[in-house]
Amino acid sequence: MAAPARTYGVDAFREALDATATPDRQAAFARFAETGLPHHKIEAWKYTSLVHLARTGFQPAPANFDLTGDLPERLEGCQRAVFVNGRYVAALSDAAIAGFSAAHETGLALTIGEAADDDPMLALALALGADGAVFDLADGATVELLSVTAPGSAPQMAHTQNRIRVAAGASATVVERHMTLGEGEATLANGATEIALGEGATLTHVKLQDEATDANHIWHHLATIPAAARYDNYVVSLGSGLGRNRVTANLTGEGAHCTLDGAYAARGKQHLDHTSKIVHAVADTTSRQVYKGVLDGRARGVFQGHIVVAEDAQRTDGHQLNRALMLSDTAEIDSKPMLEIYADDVKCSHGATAGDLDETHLFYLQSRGIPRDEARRLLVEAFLAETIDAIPFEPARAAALALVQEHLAR
Amino acid sequence: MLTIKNLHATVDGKPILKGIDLSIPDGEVHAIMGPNGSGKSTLSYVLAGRDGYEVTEGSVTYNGRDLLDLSPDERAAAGVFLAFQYPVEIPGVTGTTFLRTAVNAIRRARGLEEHDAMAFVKAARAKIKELGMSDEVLKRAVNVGFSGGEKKRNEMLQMAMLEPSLAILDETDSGLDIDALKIVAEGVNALRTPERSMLVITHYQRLLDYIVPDVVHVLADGRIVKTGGPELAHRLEAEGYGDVLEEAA
Repeated sequence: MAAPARTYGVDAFREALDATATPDRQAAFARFAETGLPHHKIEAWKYTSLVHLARTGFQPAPANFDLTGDLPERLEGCQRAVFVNGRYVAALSDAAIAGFSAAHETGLALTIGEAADDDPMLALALALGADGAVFDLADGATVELLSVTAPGSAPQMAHTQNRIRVAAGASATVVERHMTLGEGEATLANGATEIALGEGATLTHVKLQDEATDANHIWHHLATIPAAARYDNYVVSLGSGLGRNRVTANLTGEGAHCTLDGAYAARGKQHLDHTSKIVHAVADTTSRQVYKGVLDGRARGVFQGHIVVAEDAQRTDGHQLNRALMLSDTAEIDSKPMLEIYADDVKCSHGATAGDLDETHLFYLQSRGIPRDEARRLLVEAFLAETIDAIPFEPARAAALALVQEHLAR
Repeated sequence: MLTIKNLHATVDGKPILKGIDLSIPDGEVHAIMGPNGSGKSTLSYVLAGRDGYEVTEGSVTYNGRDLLDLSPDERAAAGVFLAFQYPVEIPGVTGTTFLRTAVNAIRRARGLEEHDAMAFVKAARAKIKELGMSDEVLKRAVNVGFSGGEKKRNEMLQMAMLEPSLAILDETDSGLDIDALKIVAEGVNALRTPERSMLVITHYQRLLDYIVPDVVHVLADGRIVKTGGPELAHRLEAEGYGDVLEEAA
């Protein structure tokens, strides 16, 4: 038997585990402790190691906080729940949000499943996540979940577990926004969101992530999509020095569909990772993924897209595309598509491209009087616009576009 | 006034333009005709400042300024407009964003106040109507999903919006049927003013039936080998390039 592999961060994070933690939390932590912080040898974390977080000395964020700066305007047509450093803040949230409760009130404890096998951070979120949002959404529900990181004078972390349920046949929209307000030491926001759709339900799920550059943002969305249900996930990642957005989607009933679209832009030393796994478990399910990233400076982008088609999942239709725009010679993209197909009657594809802006486009714009820098900005925005334009909920689309424009103008 | 003197240019190290001399006074329309490979498109790209087209000798001055010293956007601000033979499709950039950014960049460079969104749309709609086009051009991505003829009309709209003092039309007739050709020519003629100069580059004479030039030049192997009036274009059409080139040699 091989010697147990060295682990990182187990002791550092164990301090945060309450001595009175429930057996579920203890079990989740034990699962985390088996692996410790994820590192390159775990396939799902091949390009994104977190072992350095063991040295940062993160402490649980205190319950009290100072907010410097204003919250963004509430998205039009939404009821809003606000969390600061992982805790629900009723005073900043709308009263009586239909179908919403805070996890600390209802005692939400997500159950640890197979997904934690290669995701110790998911296990950690379940072990330490003290609060979160619980949505039981009816038809027409449109909610905003605003997660604010308020840094302190010492490195601090917040772990969160959320659950979104949509009733059978209902159609709902959830817009998650993650941002940093104020300045301070490094932060870690680590979360897990479980998404359970009823049969024939539709969820439009938008996530806008614009945390500060000394923030670490690690999130895992786990969706179960039964017969005739549809899960459309749009992520826009612009912030955080180290950001990871992972989606696991299980298509478990005939006619289930999943869309995963991502737009991200990184510069400086940012490291943004988008990892997905779509499991076509039964026949006649479809999935579409398009992730587009813009990398400048010494930024690094990671895309890992894993499609699994089970033996009985005939007539699966699954497509995946990853495109990266490289604006500097020192930027890097690591792209790892993976198709794992056990059925024989399927249509699956993947593609990856990386390249600079098209000189023909630049010249055309310049020949119309647009200076080169402005032309570049316009083309970068256009590159990301394809994803952003696909967001069906207009207020979220407008907010996403505004974030991208602001990011590019910085 | 555009003055080209002894212009030599290479593409990928290969000489294409081999000593062009040409002057276009304000308000005049000059046509350049020539067989394939004579350097027509190279000349238009050199004038617009495209990368990869290297000037090795000679000069180009426009209204007293050294045009070759300016970046493509500065040339546009100085009043030069190139209507592309193959207008470029730019997915993701809407016609409105493109035109408004261009118009405002040029206004800014010329020291004029920028148009706000309302003023821009109003001005654009008026031009679109004049050219008999649809508002779709504002909503859709630049040139994406437009037919060849529509793309050429889009170029005319850009020209009308940017109000250049020197318009270079690079084979604007290529790929157009006769109806589309007439419409584009009408658009060009509507922009003819006593101050605005034009350089119409074409392989065929038929465009010049609709845009009647003051002067016709024949380009062959990187040089202008013959210059005449509109009748020269008709001769080329009737006799072909062979005889005229032989006579010039």
